[in-house]
Amino acid sequence: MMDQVRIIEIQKSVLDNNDQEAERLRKKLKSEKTFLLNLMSSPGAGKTSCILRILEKLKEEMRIGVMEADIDSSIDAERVGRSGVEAIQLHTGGMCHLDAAMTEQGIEQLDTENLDLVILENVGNLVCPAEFDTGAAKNAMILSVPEGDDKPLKYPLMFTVADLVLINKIDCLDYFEFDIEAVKERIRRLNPSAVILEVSARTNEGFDLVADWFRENVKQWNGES
Amino acid sequence: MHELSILMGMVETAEQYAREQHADRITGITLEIGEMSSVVPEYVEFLFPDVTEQTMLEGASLTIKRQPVCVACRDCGQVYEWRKEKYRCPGCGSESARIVSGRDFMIQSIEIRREDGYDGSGQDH
Repeated sequence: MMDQVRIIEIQKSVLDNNDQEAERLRKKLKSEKTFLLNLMSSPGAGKTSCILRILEKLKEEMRIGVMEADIDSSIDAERVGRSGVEAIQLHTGGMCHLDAAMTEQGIEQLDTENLDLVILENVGNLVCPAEFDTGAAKNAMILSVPEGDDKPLKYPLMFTVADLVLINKIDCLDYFEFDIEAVKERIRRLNPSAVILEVSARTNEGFDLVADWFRENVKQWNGES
Repeated sequence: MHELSILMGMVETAEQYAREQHADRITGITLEIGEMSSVVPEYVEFLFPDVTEQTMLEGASLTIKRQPVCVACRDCGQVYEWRKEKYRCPGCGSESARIVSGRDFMIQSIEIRREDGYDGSGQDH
């Protein structure tokens, strides 16, 4: 008797399991006619404020739920809950991103069969959330003016996976060296199909176009067989 | 900081392959980590002994290979190493590019050991 050693080639992505889980969740939501949007940004870019503006525009015409993911606290869910829309808080317990399994746990707490749109507010972070498919129909990200126009160069994956990019806090453009045309060009180089919209959650500027993007995408998602 | 959960996924996947081969132990593992993956190789090395404790991978040797970010030029189609070429297509000079590799965290291979007579053919005697 002797030990036998050999090497086997695997070439398997460790993230495959998450990708499969995400695909399964996407199909389930598709069959329930629920459009899940994964919203990402760095901390303080204005995710919750933008969500509140979007809810103002859309809550009378579609059934919406919001999932707030944070490492701790429930302040975001409370803010959103005050707008009259169902909001739940997910605590990631130190995790820097949401994966498909955590998203599904949140989805189970919402009655998604009776919702047209669910907005998932991911953990504030431009790195890891871009890497993990949550099972969402579309990804959106917010870049705020004070963060600087170099962010697409520093976090290329985030801008590559985003279907919608909101440039927020444009009411502050005069106070920062932020070249909005340069930023758009940098995003287009990485992701020519991304829709880029300029907004201000403070002044409500630009949210008519954001609401149109949601209407169009929710309709497309729920209408396709 | 998500290396821990990713490594737990790695252990699960490696053990599954090893069991399919009726192995008793995994004595070595080679990982490929993309430069655009948020997994930090230093953390992987740091966490590896604790994560693999009391698994088939306990005591296994760890080899990490970096996978560079490669992109395809959207204008002329050329595939090139993004960082090495300073984010510009060496063929046509375009900066518009689509990422083709460098995002992965992969198990490339495992070295398995079976402690009875076994010829590596996959057949039991």
